[in-house]
Formats: sequence, structure tokens, C-alpha cells
Amino acid sequence: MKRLLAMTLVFILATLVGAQGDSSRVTPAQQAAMLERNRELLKATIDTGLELTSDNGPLDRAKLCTTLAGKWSDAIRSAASSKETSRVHELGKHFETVIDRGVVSNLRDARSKIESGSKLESELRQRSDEAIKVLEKLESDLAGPQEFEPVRKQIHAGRGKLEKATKLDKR
Amino acid sequence: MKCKQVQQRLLATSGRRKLPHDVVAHLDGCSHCQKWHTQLGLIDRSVRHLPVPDSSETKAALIAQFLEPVVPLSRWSLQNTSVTWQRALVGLAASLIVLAAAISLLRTNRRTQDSAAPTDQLLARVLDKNMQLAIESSPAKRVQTLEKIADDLDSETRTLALLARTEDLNELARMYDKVIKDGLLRQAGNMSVEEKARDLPTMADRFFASSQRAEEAAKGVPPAVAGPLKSIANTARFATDTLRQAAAAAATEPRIKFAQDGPAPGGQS
Repeated sequence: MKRLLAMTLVFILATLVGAQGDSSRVTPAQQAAMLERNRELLKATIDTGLELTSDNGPLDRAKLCTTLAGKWSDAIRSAASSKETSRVHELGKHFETVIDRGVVSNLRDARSKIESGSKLESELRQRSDEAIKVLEKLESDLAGPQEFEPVRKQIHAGRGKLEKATKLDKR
Repeated sequence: MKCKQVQQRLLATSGRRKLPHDVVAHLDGCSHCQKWHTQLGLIDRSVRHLPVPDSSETKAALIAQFLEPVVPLSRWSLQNTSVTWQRALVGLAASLIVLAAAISLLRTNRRTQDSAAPTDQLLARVLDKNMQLAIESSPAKRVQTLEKIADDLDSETRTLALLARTEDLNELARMYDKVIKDGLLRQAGNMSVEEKARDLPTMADRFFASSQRAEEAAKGVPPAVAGPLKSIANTARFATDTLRQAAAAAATEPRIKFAQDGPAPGGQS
């Protein structure tokens, strides 16, 4: 009996460990095909990164990242129209990164430095509105198919983060 | 009728049963078979006198077992309980095995889907580093991040040299050049003197190693593919020279400043 239970436990552990496998391993041939496909997106990302190293303030950085988010959203839209669900999910995850780390964090930084009622505050709102517009359009374009629903929900949550980032911290 | 046949008939008709006429007729005239018949009768009579073991206790116990009322579940014996637990454990173990197998199957299916749609590792890495640039303001940190992006592009070009299209490799080489010249070297110029003296010599050595690797890789591939690798080697060598010069200048900067301010105190000029 004890032997049977021990064997069962070993089997379950082996199953779980085996299931952890290397799901994300990509062969060089696959990577070469992806380079061909994502080359323009890669180039746009690097160009934006280089522009970000200029000594610009958080509002300019947010604008640059919104422009980059626009390019990523075009790629997502194109993948969605070709019904490439896994690509929509992959690019959707990266799009969320651009919004969170590029736009939201810079708007939050700007908000902490800008006084209420100043001219810069209206510029802050404008930057936020520009980003929200990109998200709204993508969200509406992805509405409908059930397989894109998780990505659409992420985008919707991103809108909430953008709206919150421009609000004054009342603490 | 022969003796053998008669004896077989006698064996088949033991006891008090009446013998057939032809057997009786044979027995009347055959002393051997008469003797045989007498012995058979003796055996028949002796069998009932053989001793039989006493089965009265076993019989009584069997009867008692049938007459005993049904025992309620809570009063089962320890042995019965043990058997039940063993069965339950076997059942549980079997269920766990089936569950684990199901999980494994599901995960394998998901892994198959994943492998059918692999994710672009280079794109993910480059995006991650570029988003770091969106929040970093220190030139020294920007230089570090840009060096990592350059390293990603360099190693990707070497890895895919024989697999990717030449135009894609050329584009990677152009991106590498841009990251070094428009990003890293400019930002290195904005670093403090101390940071330059501390960080740039080792960074220059790393770029020198990159240029060597790219040159080596260019030797083992067709001329069309060698172009982007040579371009990367040239850019890396340019970065090496520029960073070494900047590091050397940073190392001598205090003396230059000192010279501008006047002769060193106690110095013999």
C-alpha cells in the first residue's frame, strides 16, 4: 500500500515537473522568420528609444511613447484582421508594456511636478487624451471576437490607469 | 461371456442391486469370478465401518453464521475497517493518477499551441530595454541600457547570419550602428568625468571583443552575409576607439583643469 502511494506521488511530481517544460524555446529558423515579420516594429521601437535619450521632460517622453503605442496598435489590428490570435495576444502584452512603462509612468512623473491650474497641466491632460484615444480605437476594433477579449480587457484597464495618472494625489 | 467383462459388470453394479442373468450364469460356472464377487461384497460392507472425523462443531458454526443478525456499519470489525481504508486509498491513488495524466495532457496541448506560435524574443528584449530608457534620466544608466540593446542586435545578427534574409541582417546592422553612434556614444559624452574614467575602459574592451567576434563570424559565411557582420565589426571598433579616447581624456581632465588654473602648487614647471 505504502509502495503504491509513493509511486503515485512520484508520478504526480514527475508530471508536474515535466509540464513546466520549455514552452517558450524558439529555434533560430523561427527567430529569423519573426525578424522578417517584426522588423519595422523593432526599428520603430529602437528609434523611439533613441529619441527618449534626448534630454526631454516626462511630457515629451509620454508623447513619444504614445506615438510608439500607435504603431504597435496598428500591428495588433493587422494581426486581428488576419485572425492571428496568438500574435494579437503577444503584441497586446507588449502594447500594455508601452502604455504602462512608457506613457503612464511619465504622466505620473509629470503630474507630481506640475502645479494645479498651470499651463502645463492642460498639456498633461492633452497627452493623456492622446493616449486614451489610441487605446479607445484599438479597444473598439478588437470588440466582438471572444478570442481577443483578454487583450481588449487589458486595453480597457490601461485607459483607467491613464485617467488615474493625471489626477492629483490627494494625500 | 469372458471373465474380464463379468468383473467390469460386477464393479459397475456394486451394492445390493440385482445382477444381470448372463453375469449370474457365468458366476455359476467360474470359481475365479465367484471369489472376485465375494471380495467385492466384503469391500462394500466394510466401507460403512471406516472412521469419519467429527464435523458437528463446524456444522454448528455454519448454522450459527446463517442465523446471526446483520451487524450495523459502526460495529464492523477492525479487519473490515482496514480493508475498507485500503480500498479507499487505492481509489484515491487511482484518481490522482488519472488527474495528473489529465493535467499533463492539457499542458501538452497548450505547449503544442505555444510551439506553433512562438514569441519574438528579440522584440521582447529590445522593447523591455527601450522602456527602461523611457524612465531613466542618468546618462550612465542610459549608456548601460544602450550597450545591452547593441549586444542583443549584435548577437542576433551572428546567430541568424545563415538563416535570415540579407536585407534583414543589413537592417540589424544599421540599427546597431544607430544605437552606438546616435545613442551610446552621445550619452557617454554626457557622463561625469568620474563615470567615464570608471566605466568606459571596460566597456571599450567589451566592444573590442564584439568587433573580433563579428569579424570571425564574417570569415565563415558567404560574401552577401558577411557584409552586415563586417559593418557591425567596424561600428564596434569605432565604439572601442571613441570610448578609449573618452576614457583617456577623462583620466587626464583634472590635470588639464589644473594647467588652466595655473602651475601646480610646489610643482616645477
